[in-house]
Amino acid sequence: MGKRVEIPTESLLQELLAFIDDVVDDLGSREEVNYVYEIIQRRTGADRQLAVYEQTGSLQAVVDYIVSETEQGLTI
Amino acid sequence: MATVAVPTFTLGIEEEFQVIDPETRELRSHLAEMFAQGEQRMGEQIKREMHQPVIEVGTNICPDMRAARKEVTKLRTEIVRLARQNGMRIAAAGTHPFTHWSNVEITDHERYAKLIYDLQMVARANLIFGLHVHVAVEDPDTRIHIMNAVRYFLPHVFALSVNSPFWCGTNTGWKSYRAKVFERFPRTGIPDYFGSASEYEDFVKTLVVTGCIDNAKKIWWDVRPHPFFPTLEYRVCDVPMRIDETLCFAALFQALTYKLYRLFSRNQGWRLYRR
Repeated sequence: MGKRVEIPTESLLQELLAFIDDVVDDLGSREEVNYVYEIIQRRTGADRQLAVYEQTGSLQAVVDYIVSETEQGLTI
Repeated sequence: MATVAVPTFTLGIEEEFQVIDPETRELRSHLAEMFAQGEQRMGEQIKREMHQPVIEVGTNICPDMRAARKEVTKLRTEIVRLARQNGMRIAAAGTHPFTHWSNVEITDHERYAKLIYDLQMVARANLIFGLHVHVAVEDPDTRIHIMNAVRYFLPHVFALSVNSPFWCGTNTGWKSYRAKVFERFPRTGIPDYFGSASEYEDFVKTLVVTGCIDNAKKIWWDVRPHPFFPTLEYRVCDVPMRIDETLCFAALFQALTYKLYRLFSRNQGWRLYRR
């Protein structure tokens, strides 16, 4: 029947992680899957873009933020 | 399904990037020279798109996430270097915050001209950037069964991936305005249920003979059986800002595909929903 009520996104994400938990080590992707928790903590890309806009009032500053995030972890 | 070979679940990841002018922070057109250099260095791993400031890069087939991490990192590094050497920058987000689509040049190619002829302003305005994750499921019927079931989980991953709140200089109030722009296209969103691979093939044939599409590449659902590769292609996500986000979503799609296959191979399944 399913739950038939509205479920918070975080509970649904827990459901997703629980569903795949027994295959993640077979696939060797535990580190990548666990990044979900990092996203929940750092917020989504949209939330981060909006936060930069709220702080600066500048869409140019948002572009600069996107560029720096895009280069994150790279050796240029 | 007992007689069917186990899928390989190998991965392919495509990212669509924005080419940015670092002075104005606008999207930049007229990049023929840069693309020529890119093709020389990266061959078929770099692709032009309909709108000139869009660059797509795609990995080779990756046996696992470890290989995918290496490939995605290598491609992002190469594309950022290429852009910087040409005085540009690369940005990864589902929309550009303020460049208006009408100020962006269209790549001169028969395919794009046809799309604009068919869809007019809807195609012209479709200035969006996505992430496409391929997971290999070699048997066509198995691929369709997994596609049916995995539809339930698409919004879960989508919710994590939203990365386009701005459109043409406006805070849209949406976290992924890319999804709103793209839904004006036909054959987008979550697919219908299909009973088998042949039922899906019949659907494609009907669209072709009635002149709706010329081939199955013009089916743009959030997940689709790829028309040429033996893969399920997940297309629901905005292109993420960070590499770690891209890899996370790829890992989630691969794990979902694998898990659903495991259930089916034991004659179990996940609840099927209407669209």
